[in-house]
Amino acid sequence: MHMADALLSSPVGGAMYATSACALGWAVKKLDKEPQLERKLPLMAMSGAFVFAAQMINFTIPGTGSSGHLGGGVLLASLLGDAPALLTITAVLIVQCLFFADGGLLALGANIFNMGVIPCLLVWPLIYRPILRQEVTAKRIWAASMLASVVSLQLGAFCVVLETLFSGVTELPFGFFLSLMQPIHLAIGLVEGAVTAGILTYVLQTRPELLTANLSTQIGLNSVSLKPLAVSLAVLAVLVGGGLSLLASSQPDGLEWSIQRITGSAELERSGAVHSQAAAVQKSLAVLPDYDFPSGEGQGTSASGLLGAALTCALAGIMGLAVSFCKKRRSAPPA
Amino acid sequence: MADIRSKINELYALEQLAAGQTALHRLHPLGKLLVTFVYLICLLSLDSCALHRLAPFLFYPILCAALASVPLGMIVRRAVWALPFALLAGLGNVYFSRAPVLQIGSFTVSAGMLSLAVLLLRTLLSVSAVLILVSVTPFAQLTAQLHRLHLPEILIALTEMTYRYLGILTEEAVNLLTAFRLRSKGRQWPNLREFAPLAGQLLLRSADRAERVYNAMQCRCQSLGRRYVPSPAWRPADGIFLILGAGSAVLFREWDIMTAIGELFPW
Amino acid sequence: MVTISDWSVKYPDATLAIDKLSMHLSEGEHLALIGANGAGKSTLIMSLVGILPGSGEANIAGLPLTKENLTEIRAKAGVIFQNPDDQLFMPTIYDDIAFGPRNLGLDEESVRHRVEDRLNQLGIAHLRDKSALKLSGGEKRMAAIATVLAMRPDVMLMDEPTAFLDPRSRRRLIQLLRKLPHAMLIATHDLTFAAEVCPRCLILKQGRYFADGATEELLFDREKMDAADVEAIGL
Repeated sequence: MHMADALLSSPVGGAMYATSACALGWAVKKLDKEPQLERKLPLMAMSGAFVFAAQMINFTIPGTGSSGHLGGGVLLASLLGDAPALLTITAVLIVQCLFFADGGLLALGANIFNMGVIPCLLVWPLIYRPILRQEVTAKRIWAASMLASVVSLQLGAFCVVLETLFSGVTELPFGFFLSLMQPIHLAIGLVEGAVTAGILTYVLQTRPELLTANLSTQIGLNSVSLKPLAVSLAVLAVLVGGGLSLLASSQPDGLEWSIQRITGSAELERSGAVHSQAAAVQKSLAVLPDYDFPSGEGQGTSASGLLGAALTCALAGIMGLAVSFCKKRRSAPPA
Repeated sequence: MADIRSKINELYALEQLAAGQTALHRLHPLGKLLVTFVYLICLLSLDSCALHRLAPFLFYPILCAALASVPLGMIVRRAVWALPFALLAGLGNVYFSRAPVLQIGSFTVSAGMLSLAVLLLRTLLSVSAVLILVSVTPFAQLTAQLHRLHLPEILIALTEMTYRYLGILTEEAVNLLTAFRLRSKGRQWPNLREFAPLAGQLLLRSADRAERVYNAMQCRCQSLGRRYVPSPAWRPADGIFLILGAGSAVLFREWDIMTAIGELFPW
Repeated sequence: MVTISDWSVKYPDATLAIDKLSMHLSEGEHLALIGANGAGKSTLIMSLVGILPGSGEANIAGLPLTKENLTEIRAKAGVIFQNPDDQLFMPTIYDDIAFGPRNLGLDEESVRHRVEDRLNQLGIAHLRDKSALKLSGGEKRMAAIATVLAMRPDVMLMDEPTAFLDPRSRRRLIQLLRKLPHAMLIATHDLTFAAEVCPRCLILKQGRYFADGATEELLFDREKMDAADVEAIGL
């Protein structure tokens, strides 16, 4: 689920950064009004550490040979409430990206959106909380956790697909990519839902006040303005749009195809150049295996380029070795 | 159990490296942060098929690792963890773009293979750059820079504490698991039915412990919204590092230096 | 150093943990705080540095206990927790001891001085770069005390300092505490320890004042101790 830096183009990464920053700004503002924030901090941080640890347990999904891990967003939101949960998962992602090479620094925005904003600010208030609003029972917790986890991961996976395609790093067709990602994350969602529900029912037995506190103090979406969220989504749309147009001119490959799929050809007809390229791509897709890499400037690696690259690699290696060697000599006691 | 501990030790291993005293360690954290960002942006905005142009980007991680005495093997090993998803996305390219771009003997390199190689190499390089940043900059200094860049205090505090609490969580997990093993007749791990209550117990126990630890922090003058930010002086060396690091990245991004070098050899 | 009058502490669930307690601790004095489990000893200590909210009047190290003074009070009144594991949370003992001075805004050089002074003073210089995970109970206790001493406090508040200690480490702790010039309020179940370190003691029962007086006499008084639900020192 974590997207690496290399899977995202800078415009898409930037757009996602902006979107997540808006959501985080909203969360921080909301928490500023919370008088007991400092008392809540240890629970937030420890829940974060807990989710971090849970994500280290990768499980293999039978039949696919692929592995997945828990997201933890729903668990955090149900223990902490929406805004604290979003901040917590952000903290987790920052630590993961810095120390575990899990997700990248530029991809941070996208990862916060996929694994934080979706479960905490969309799924939790719209699915989890309504189910538990009337009464908090083990049965309702199961229903809410399962549903919320599955929906969160489906949406998250869908966004991963979109972000990857918009970045133009993969040639996988939209539908194929989707049919790869969604079932895998359905399985993960079911496991996550069960684990979340199991943990929450345990918490319900021993410390019910932890679960009900968030539901009662934050009942009613009206108490918290949704405007910032709407604004952030608008910004997202604009930025992604801008990013797309940038990309569309430089990398006319898998991307166009996905735009084609999403928006329909009618919209693209307005711009002649893009349309003709899209048409070309579409034509080549008709015979899928023969789908060529679109010819254009800058994509080829010439023989001289390769030679230069080889020399550079060698030079970099030698310099590295030389520096290490000198350092060792200097630190070694004189003979 | 040993495996849980060793994973956590590996986590804090980078921090121990960061306590080093090489020239790179002594550089201003903001300079290092900026260079890392510029490097990443330049690296990632290169054309997706230009394998040869990635070569000069090797300089930065290799030289930094050597200068800072960071074991490159450790960095690479960690970076490899990030590969699986990149592989998934890249393998598709091999299948879908088969146009030949290069002939090496009887072996034809297709555009897809090339872009797969680019993707994997890019992943390795970008991840290495971040890991190197962390292994030459103490965590507290990094978070202090985040503070200077006006990130919300609550988020910074939360990041620091989450990082800190991982070790505490591990201790609690090991204790809980030991207790479980002592009364479960030789079984090493809980089954699915037992797992959720155990996990819940771990969460609540650790949360209590977290509160006590936070009290101890507060007793020693830690508090939200009151942060002492050490501000190391910006020295000429920092300027040179920033110009060299960021400048070279931009140069390598803008100018196809590899082809230029290759063309020097007339054959 | 510590003066409280009519000091009360309520838990969030409204139970009264400390009920109108008054006491005074003079400069350099070592006072033992005795009471059964649940008598409110730990609660009292936590309330004196503002971790738990209390009501009434409290004056710590010359400052009235108010929100504005909290940081200064916490720098002047060091707390030793019952479980040293709760106090040692950084990767190395050095960082643990440096944590407080760094929060005070000292530069790295003075921080290093403070840490090394404390390490040498307590004879634990060999633990400098170790992780708390690898320490024995006695070493952890010494390290925890070092973390507090590095703040250069005027008064030390201790919660069960002999917990987790073997007899030998306990002996070393007694010797150390007798040497230290700080004012100390020591909550403990360990009455012989209290008798050796503190000339005076204060006994709590269910959050209220029960008795106070010279340790030598009070702690051997079986009748009174029984009434306080504490087991007197046998002869």
